[in-house]
Amino acid sequence: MTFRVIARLDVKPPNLVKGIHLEGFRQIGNPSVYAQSYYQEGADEISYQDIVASLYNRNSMDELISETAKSVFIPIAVGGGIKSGAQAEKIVMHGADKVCINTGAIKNPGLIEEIAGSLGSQAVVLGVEAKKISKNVYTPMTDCGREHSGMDIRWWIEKASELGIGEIVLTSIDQEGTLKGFDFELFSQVRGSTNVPIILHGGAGSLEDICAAAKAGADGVAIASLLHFKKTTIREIKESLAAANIGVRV
Amino acid sequence: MKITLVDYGLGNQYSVIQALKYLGYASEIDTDGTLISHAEILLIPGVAAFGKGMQNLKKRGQLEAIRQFSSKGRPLIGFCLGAQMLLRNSDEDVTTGGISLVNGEVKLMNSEYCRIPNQGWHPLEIKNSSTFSGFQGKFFYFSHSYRMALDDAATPGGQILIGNEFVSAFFFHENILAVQFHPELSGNTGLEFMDTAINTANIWT
Repeated sequence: MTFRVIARLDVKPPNLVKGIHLEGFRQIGNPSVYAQSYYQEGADEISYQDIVASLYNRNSMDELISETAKSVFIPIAVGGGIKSGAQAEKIVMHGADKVCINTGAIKNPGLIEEIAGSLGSQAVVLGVEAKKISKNVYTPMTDCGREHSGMDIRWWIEKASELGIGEIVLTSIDQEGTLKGFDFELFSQVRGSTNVPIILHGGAGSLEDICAAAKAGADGVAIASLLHFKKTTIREIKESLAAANIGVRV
Repeated sequence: MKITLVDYGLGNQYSVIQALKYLGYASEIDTDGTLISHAEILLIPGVAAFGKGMQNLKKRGQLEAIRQFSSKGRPLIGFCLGAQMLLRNSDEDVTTGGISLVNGEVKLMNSEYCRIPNQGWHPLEIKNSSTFSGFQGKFFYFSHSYRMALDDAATPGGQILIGNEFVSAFFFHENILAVQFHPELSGNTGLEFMDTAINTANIWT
């Protein structure tokens, strides 16, 4: 299986934004334009996250998804405020291929089965935003990193896997936006709690960080800061992975 | 040439329609079976679960129409779930049979070799086909937990290697082309595959 390089775009509709530790989001530009350019450069997937959907209880990604799907022919994952099977189906109707759920699933784990039942589990991505609360102890947060769930991450990952998720996008809140590297202790705990593919997100600061993720056994990485702030390109990332003998799609 | 897409209320028609548009093909969408009998080429897309997909086809009157269409030997193409539903039945939902136009079954992937779902890009190995030989070694996007297992393993098409096992990537038989991966999500390579498949519809070799 090839290692996936996914472009992650946090969106505060209609803008592409970027924050640090899931706060202080700055506007960067037009998300659809950025998505197009990452696609042209060889990204394996586009992942859109509406970061204010849970906060404002609204869904305004439809137009962006449809616009993107007109010229971006790789999988598009969409997350942010998804609370029901009907919402998930609507998002797929507009051109998305997978839906990413976090808060919705923690508050109502039955949501996983509901969406998997109609779209298939391969369309269900569990978004996990993990915060370290003490040495080697992590908890999944909800509402874009603002609220505590009270759970140990290993327990939640096992439960969600039993309920039928297709893959996990694992974000380290402590690392994200810092460019200081991924949290491999976090990855290891999640890897030990599930068999589904895991995409690492949050903290990639260099090509070496990304190679390290592949060598540690992640199934892919979701990259934001490094790409949006033009510190590297998808092409460069894939070349460095290939040079390290990691199989990537060319 | 116009492609008739079968909309069964789930599936991701939008991406497929956009891909067809990009390639310059006209398309129409059938939602109740009435457009199927006059279709030139029928395409069944798919992002859904087998049981629900089959239920919807029945409810919308499309199931019989598809069988009739195929019995006339007109080209029928299925993507992902759309391909799997063409077989007899699926492990995903043992209470609901498939459209049964191809001799084979849909089986759960082997977790010994493969993370389930099989989600990601794989290079194709082409088997006994000159039409698709140009896609040897090219990468396509797969997203599935179940795989197509044909009664006749020598059916031409393509496969991918997962661990020690070959998994069917696509096959063609008479008027039917069944594609396990998502050509509409496989970048430029996928678009080329779609173009080739449509241009050589019914004369695939």
